[in-house]
Amino acid sequence: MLATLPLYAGLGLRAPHVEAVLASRPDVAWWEVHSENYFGGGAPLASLLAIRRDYPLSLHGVGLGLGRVGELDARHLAQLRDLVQRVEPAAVSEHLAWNQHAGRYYNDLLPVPRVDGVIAHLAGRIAQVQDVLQRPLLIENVSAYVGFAGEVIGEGELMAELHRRTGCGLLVDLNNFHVNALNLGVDPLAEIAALPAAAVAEIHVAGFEWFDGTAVDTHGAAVSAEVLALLDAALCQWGPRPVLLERDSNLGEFAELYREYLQLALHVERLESNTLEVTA
Amino acid sequence: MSYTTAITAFAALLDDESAAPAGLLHAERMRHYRANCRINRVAALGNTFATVEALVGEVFFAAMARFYVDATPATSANLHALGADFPDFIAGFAPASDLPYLADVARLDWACWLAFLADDAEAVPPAALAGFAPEALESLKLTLHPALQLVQSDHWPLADLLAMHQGGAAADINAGGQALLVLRADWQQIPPARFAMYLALQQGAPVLAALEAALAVDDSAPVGEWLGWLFASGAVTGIAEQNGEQS
Repeated sequence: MLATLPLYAGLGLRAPHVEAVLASRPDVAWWEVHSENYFGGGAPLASLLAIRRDYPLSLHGVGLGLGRVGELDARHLAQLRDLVQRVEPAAVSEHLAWNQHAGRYYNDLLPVPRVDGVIAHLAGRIAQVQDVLQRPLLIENVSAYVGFAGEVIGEGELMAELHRRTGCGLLVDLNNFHVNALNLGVDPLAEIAALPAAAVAEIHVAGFEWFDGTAVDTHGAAVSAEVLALLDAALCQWGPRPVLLERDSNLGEFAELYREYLQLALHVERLESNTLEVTA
Repeated sequence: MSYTTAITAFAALLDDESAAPAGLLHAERMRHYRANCRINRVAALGNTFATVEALVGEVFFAAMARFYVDATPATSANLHALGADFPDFIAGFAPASDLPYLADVARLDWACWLAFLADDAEAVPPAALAGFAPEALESLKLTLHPALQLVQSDHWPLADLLAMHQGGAAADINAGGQALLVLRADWQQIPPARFAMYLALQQGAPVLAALEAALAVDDSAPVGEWLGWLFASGAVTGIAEQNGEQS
């Protein structure tokens, strides 16, 4: 079992909304939080455990840096292991990204160069994390603004190969495929087609914004029509999946985000019933 | 191009926009990554140093934080762990020199942040102390909870400023130095003798030496009561005789 999330829409939960969620217990099928925000103890962890008692929860890491050159940060990995043991989440995921080089950290999700050596490097790190966590990790594709010359494998193909080698699950971010299509000309439908359906354990949708002619994955806007179309195509191909709405900037009131979530939940619900009819 | 070479070239261009864009396509877009790293760190600092931000306003704070971020490479992937040396940076930040108390307020914010996020730890019950003979105090050491943080300013009324920030009365900036303790989200102003005692314990001094540190500041200090408060508040997580016996 790669993950045990419900096959419905879920919602990203950020610190400014935790109080409102605990007070109102909204009808959300499952939540996803950033693991690093709960690495300490005290009130934040206590709130997360309270939410965990009532909802399925996904832990989504943003700081492990699977693609960094050299060893993973042992302390970071130990903190993640401790959190997973405390929370017993329905899914644990990380990005195919790096964030550290030569002793210096970069607080962003930097794209991995898909050049010679990438498969062995990432497969080794993913296997290491799965050994420590004693459970499958879901790996997520990231957005990119810059490309690397001499790449030897596509992103979807890379994810499929990593699944084959390590047994990890796939978290498919459709907005990131779309952003990469806008910035680098990749074909998002070809990327989707390259992914083995059985390995796809979760989908992300979010909004992006334009800055000086570059599509930037800010998670700061509504989901675009193009990404919703990709979602339709993906669910048609794979069948029902947990679909997460992510929002990180321009956060606003919880009630506003909740309305957007319900819209997505309805969209996914209708799509998935159709999918089931088609595939039945 | 090898994997390591590609990452090294990318990192070099992140660090220095004049570096050669070896093997990178659309290298002119690298500024979006630089901007993301900076925005993420500045936003996190605003969250951590909330009192500083309230005192100087969002615009000044963002500008000051940006200077800091550009001058200080990140030392952790976890944004929550960044900012320990921001108070020292503020102390030397010339545009803020009209607010000489700002660096100490930043030290207060950092203490509150550490107290808020510290790992959970099991408290030692007050009864544990009774298991030791009075003469053991000379060598007895306590481990204090990481969520207990101490902060003191020689010149500025930090407790009054924090109270004001939390909706209390306007602070008189010339009221003189103050010390306080923070335990999770709770805090209280404490007299200098109590600060000296808890600081000594935190730094690993034996209990007797810590009591003497308090009495050296104020010879009528109620040190027994202050010691009892630590246990009653769940702020002691370890107790051991110096020769190693633990409870």
